[in-house]
Amino acid sequence: MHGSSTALRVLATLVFAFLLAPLLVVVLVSFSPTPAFRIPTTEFSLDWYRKFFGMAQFRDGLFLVSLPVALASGSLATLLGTLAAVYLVRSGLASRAAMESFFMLPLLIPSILLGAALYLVAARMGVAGQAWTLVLGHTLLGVPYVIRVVGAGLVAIDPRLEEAAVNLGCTSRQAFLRVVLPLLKPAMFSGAIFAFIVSFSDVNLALFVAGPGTTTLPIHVFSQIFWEGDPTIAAASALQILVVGVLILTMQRLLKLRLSL
Amino acid sequence: MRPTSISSRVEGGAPAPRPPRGAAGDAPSARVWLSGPYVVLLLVALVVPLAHLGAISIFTHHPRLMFVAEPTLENYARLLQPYYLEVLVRTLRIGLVTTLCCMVLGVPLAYWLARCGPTALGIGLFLLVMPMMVSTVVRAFGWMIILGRNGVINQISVGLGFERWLFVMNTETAVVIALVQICLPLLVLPTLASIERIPRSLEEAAANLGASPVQLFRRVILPLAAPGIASGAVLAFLVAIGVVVTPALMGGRGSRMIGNEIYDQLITALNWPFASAMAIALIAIVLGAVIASRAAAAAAERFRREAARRRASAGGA
Repeated sequence: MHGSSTALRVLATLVFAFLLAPLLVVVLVSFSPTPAFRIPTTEFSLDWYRKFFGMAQFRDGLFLVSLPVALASGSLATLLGTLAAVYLVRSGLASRAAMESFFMLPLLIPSILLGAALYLVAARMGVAGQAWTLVLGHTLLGVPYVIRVVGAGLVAIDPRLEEAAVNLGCTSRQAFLRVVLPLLKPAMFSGAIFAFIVSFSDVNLALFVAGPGTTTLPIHVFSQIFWEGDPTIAAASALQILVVGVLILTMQRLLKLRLSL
Repeated sequence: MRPTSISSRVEGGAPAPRPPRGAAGDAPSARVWLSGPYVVLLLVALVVPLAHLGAISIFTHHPRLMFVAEPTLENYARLLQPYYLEVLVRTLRIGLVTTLCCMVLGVPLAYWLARCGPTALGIGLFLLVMPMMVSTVVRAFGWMIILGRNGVINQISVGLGFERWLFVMNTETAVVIALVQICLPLLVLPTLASIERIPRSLEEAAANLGASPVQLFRRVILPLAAPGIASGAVLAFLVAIGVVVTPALMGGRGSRMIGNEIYDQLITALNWPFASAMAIALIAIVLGAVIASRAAAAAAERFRREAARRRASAGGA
């Protein structure tokens, strides 16, 4: 097995390099001293970050649209997803598998279709481009992640703990709230982070649903790339990578959670 | 280990421990407020909008009113025009090639991750999940910097005294490269989960019986990991055929996918009925892919059981 395990390690390294390459060049170019999209070799500068925070469109896209929408839809998705996960794991339904597929539907339907369908409804109601349609759509995209993570957390909790609490005089509701829920917190937090990032990084749905006042950061970066902007878009992209990286690292290191979906 | 117990572990994960009787979540009233909010969201933001979109797809386009409620099949007929057929075929081709590349790169990676030890696995999962969660716009931008006419690769080649040699930007190849990077983690994660459930003793037994690494991979790992690979491949395919940004930035005029056409018809050309018809066609493709993969996984499972039974009866004789 040893000869082949070396080959396997080389392959794994190359695949990881392939996965990380586009992120790495974006971060490097964001420190470029010139307006060309070149990787700086001798001189580094923070000019493009200064320009990013100086430009209202970028700043507002991040602080007034992307972050609030991601916070709102992440919280909403965590609430709905946790309730739905408890429902799936606890109510011994015969139709559980069917319910579970129904609940996972937003993962199965391409999000451009969800975006297009939401846009058509919103446009007919005359509310296209408003922030809450974006929040609604992003919540929908986030809930399946929360259900997966919280459902797995719930299954992993020893049912004897709850039994013991009931035997010691708790009602079943008290046992759930005081014993199970605290143990479930890391999983809920991790589900919330996933739902936040799904909203923060989404383009497919926002492309259809976002309007002039609700241009998220990725959408703004997209239109800037289209019209060939300067490395400010690299700085904007690098900041997004930073946010996602820190959040995933938090989830993995701080909460000691296994990153699996 | 009986085959049935392996298959139940592979398909359903660890069996859920039964919560105590009468635990929270058991009562019918609890069921309503537990599942109710999400079911309402699914109805309001998914089922109704998709039904609405389906209805519009058979209505007649009207330049000012967007559409009038006169049923027609014209929108679907337009999908059969050579240009749109070409777009559909191209979308499927890009999706299939992307999925195949993901399988070739992803299955060995998943195997390595499953067997590399806890520290390397932790780092590996971070390096897998982190890029997966970064916006596809950012990643397409990164590929443009790498693959462009004046991109990193051509800069290096010019710097070394050669000509520019890489001209993949604005071709289908560029789109596939970017899509493989997007879809790879989606395939690796479920594959990894199913490989981890294969007991190591099984591999050791196969090795002790003289199986070469390739045989081991083909005869033990692949069949047992098939359900995970199948579900990961479907996810990768679904994501690959439903993109707008990646082909818009990297594909140029000649590599437009159905997502680009849906976007243009909906937002720019304002032909809602035709955009809806294309969306319904995309849903049909998605459904077809899901059904095909379920059938393939079931067939693989049947084949495996059959082989196991034959082997068992041969061993008993």
